[in-house]
Amino acid sequence: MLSRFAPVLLIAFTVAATLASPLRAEDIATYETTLKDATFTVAEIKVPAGKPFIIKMTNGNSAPAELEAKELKIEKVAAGNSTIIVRVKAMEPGKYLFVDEYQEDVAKGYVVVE
Amino acid sequence: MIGALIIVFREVIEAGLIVGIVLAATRTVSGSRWFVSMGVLAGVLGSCLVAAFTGTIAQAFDGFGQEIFNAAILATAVIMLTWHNVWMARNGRSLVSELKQAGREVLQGRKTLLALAIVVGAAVLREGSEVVLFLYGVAIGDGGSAAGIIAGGFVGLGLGSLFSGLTYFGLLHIPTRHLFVVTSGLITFLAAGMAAQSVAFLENTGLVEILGNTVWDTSPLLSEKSIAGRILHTLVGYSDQPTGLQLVVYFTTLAAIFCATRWAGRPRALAALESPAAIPAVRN
Repeated sequence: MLSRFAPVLLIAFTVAATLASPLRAEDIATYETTLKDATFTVAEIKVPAGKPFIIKMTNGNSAPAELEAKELKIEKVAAGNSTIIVRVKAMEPGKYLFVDEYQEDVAKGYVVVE
Repeated sequence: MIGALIIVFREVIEAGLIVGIVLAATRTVSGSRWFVSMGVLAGVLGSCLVAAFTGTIAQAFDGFGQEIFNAAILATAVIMLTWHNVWMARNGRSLVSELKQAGREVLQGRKTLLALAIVVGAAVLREGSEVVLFLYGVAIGDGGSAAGIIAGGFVGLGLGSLFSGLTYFGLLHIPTRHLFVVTSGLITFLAAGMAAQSVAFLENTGLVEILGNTVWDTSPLLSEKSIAGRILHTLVGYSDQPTGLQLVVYFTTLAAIFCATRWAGRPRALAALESPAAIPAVRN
């Protein structure tokens, strides 16, 4: 009985392992910022050019937030009092705006790639 | 209030367009409105669920659960749209020309309607959860302007539905004999755009890195986040900074659905499918 399912299980396991492993194994620089009310601390994240990186944002508000940066291709919601990570591809030098989309007029920060 | 209206409206545009196109595409299939309504309802309920479990989803797959979830939803929608197109190419002509339908045809009509209800549900789900979170955030925030913002949100939602209606009635101006070709074409582009978007989500997780270079940058010309950009993004999969892989997937999907639809619609295939030997293929 088990042998009939073994190939299926094997495939499922391989798929799961393939999905899970590269995410974890990767050695990639992570930059943190925290949103409290409408203020990001750090509000200016400095990142070296030409390397992918991860932004780890902690939403310190009880309300949900949506981290958005058009040029960095970031658009990700964060539940109240939670932390999210976003992966950004290698960027050219420049200053890139990120916002909490739900309060985009006031909650702003920048990623400075240099 | 205007801010809330804009936030909600731009989230519901995509779902609105898709609902309009699906309604027009299935106009000749009986019971389609009911299925589409159920799709929207399921999408709204699903949005609330997804919103409630945002934190849990985000933590899955080492923090990339949202991206994987979105990619999977989009991939499902692409499969459902392809299936519908192929099915309509095979059976659409008889649905338009004959009003009486054999029991088997009605049953299969239901199946393809279910596929499209899933597409509608998926579209509402993807955009809807963000609207739910936004409105929830406003609601639990300090009072004051909350009522105005929520009112703005509902106006945005209403405008989105209006947009959906305009798409539907706009498509209905096309004579019935051409409508099938038009909606089938629209669905092909819709699906190709979704496939590319699905890949974009996978690229954001770092899982897929081949052909990851940006091929062009038209964001100063037409931002993907502007209203016009969003409409084009949904309709034809417009991207202001596509990667090589997104383009490859886009054109491959486009060609695959086009060929599959053509093949299913050719007279010989229709004749072959009507012979008893081909019935298992029909069931699939």
